[in-house]
Amino acid sequence: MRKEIPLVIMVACGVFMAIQFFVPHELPALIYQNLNKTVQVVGAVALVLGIVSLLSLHFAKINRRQPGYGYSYILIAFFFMMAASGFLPAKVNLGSFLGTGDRVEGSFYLNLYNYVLTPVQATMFALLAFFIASAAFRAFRARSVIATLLLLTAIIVMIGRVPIGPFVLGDWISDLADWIMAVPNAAAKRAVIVGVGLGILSLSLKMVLGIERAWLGGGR
Amino acid sequence: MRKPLILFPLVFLFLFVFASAQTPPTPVDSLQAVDTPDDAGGQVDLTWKPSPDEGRAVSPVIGYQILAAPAADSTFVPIGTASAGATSVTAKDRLENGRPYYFKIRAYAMDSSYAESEVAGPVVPKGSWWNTKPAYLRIVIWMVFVVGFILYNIRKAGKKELYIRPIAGIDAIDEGIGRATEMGRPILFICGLGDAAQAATLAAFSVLGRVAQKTAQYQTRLIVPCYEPIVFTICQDIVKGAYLNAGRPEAYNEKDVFFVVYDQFPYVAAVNGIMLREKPATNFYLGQFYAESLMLAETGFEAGSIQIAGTDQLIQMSFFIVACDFTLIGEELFAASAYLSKEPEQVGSIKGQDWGKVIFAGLSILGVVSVLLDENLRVHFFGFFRKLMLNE
Repeated sequence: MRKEIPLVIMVACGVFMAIQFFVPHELPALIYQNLNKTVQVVGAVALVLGIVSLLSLHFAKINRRQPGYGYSYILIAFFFMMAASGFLPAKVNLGSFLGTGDRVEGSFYLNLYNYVLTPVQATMFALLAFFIASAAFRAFRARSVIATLLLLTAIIVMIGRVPIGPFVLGDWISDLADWIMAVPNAAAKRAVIVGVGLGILSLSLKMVLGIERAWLGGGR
Repeated sequence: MRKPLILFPLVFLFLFVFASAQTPPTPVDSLQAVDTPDDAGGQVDLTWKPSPDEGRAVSPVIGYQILAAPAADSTFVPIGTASAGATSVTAKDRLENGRPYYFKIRAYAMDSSYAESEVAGPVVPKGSWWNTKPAYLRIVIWMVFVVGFILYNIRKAGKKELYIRPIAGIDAIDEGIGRATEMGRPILFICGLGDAAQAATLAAFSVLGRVAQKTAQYQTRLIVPCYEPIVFTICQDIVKGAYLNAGRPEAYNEKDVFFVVYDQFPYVAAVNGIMLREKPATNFYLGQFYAESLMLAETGFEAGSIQIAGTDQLIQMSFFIVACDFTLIGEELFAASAYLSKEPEQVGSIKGQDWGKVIFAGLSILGVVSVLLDENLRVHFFGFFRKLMLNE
């Protein structure tokens, strides 16, 4: 029963979701909305499990004095500090540097978010530029005919897309870049999209028919 | 000579008063009300012939007010408006399913005078149980066609062995596991940033199950850092089940399948840290990926790992192709599970997919030909395909 019940639920939901797309009546729309809310509830419960997993992992690291266990202290400290900051009452004032309670502008909670988390995230995102440069360097090495073709195409598209390209070489370079993006590139992308669509359809069918059961997990 | 001079202002005054008097416009004509087809209910389509006074020089019609009432002789209340020039509107406010309604259109002139049309109705708004729009019918036809092909091939697969072309990226999965075993280093499996409802994530679950079974047999460590809480719980269950199936439940370490964080870049930072500390021999990136794809793959390259990736995100595919050793392109990700299992029913589904692609390719060619021919040579044989291509 551990596998049969989830399978029955999945088949029922899968068939319903496929049919409701074609039914404009408000009843299926209502069921669809409620199913989505149910997923949110399940997600909230799973988040608790996730947090337990994360904390137990880092507590275990500290207990065993595993390499880099110092970072676990930082994670646990910030985890509880961020959570606690969200519960601080409005009357609490931690000073002009840290901010006040509650979750309004200038509060400790939003200060942590705006001045610690957001800059750190932006820094990580900014690293992408360097990763792109190093990946492009490897990809554009002209080791074969196809790699040379890729290199030439990339050069045309890059020069055609920056203002200095048409300014120096004329409009033909931007027209050529646009043509590459709109014709050969779009054709290849559409072929992949058709493949992905068929793959999704096939996978969904296999799941609804019970052929694909890996998602059920569990032992035999 | 003085008489005409006195008469002139009087005539002017008379004309001014006559012209500025409120003159009600001609009402709209042929008002018709029908229940809106293919809707959830609570909507009525109204059509009419516009007032001929829309274009008159003095005080033209500037708009229409939609009025509704539950009975023809009861008070009509405004439920919407339409601008001058409009000949139809979908009334959707304050209408309840299953109750009759009568409608009138009030044409307003610039001088605030108005005229009401005749009453139309009764109309009972109700929801439709099937969408009859051509676009939806087309989707149904395609789905029935392709699903039929897949089901036929699944059925056929049980009777005779079907051939599948070798897929380098999937063949490399076993190589990757073997390499990690030989080197005594762990395998890192990332299910992407998608939730458990995404097809790419579901495909990743299938591969994770196979990989976990192999790592259990070879006693190789498998690390699965998860981004999404529901995906995390499913991954834990899949890996645990695979170790159980492999007869090594004691080798399963639940601390190796863990939730990291539900935030994109902190997740990247954590996983990159794991890569640089643990130096995994093989990295799997299967599922839905966004901007983090290249950051993960480049760090994995720096760590010296063999990398196998697969996603349904077009832009990220190109990043993976550049930075990874093997990439499952397009439908290959969804075929991976079937390819690895070699189960006849699973293989049959891949065959069905391939036939679907053949049909799409054939129809695309016919469509392109029809678009080219129909304009100039008037070859109407291709009319159907032309409609498909141009979405007419």
